[in-house]
Amino acid sequence: MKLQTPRFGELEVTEADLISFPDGLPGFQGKRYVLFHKEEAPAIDWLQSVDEPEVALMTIDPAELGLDYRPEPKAAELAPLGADPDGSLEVRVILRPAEDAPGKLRVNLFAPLFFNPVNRLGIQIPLVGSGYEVSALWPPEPTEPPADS
Amino acid sequence: MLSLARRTGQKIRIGEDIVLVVREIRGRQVKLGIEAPSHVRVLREEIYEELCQANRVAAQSQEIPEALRMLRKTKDR
Repeated sequence: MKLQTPRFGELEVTEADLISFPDGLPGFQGKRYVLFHKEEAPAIDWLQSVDEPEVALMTIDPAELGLDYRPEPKAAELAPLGADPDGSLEVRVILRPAEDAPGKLRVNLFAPLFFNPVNRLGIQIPLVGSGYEVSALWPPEPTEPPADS
Repeated sequence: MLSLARRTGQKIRIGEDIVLVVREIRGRQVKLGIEAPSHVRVLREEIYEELCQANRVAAQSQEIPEALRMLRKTKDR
């Protein structure tokens, strides 16, 4: 099928490209998305909504950000993604430019996305109680060395 | 909206498999217990709203930040 998007113009999307979010993504109506990257920024995976063409989110594998980031959702929270015998689930975090800190990013570490590449199901899981932030600044501010006392 | 009066220990059943129980009432706060199947996501409303807001704001920024143009993919996919 052909998809007209404001960000990328016309995209050719096949059934096999689709990632299905059975619970949707909070804030949006659609449940079908595609994930792809462009040469202009190979580290970024765009999550483009098929049902709402104006919705396109920048995501990244958190490993690319060099953070000590270990999202650990409960098994029950991952259950909607189906069986994952090989531990092949992929993680992405949503990011946007930090409007108050030029050149930096805000990364949603609180609610990462998980994908099962085998059945192409996806889910966004809020890590309640984890201490991770919805709008974490990246690169992080250097922490002050402890003052001598 | 349906409103039901309940006392401590009393329950409300929603559909076949969701049960709310009033665990404790203290001053202006009530503690609820929730039994639901694992596929039903239970969240404080303000957290859900925060997720919606964060996703919508992110969808409005579709220009790639300079800091990421430089970043080369390190992991093969």
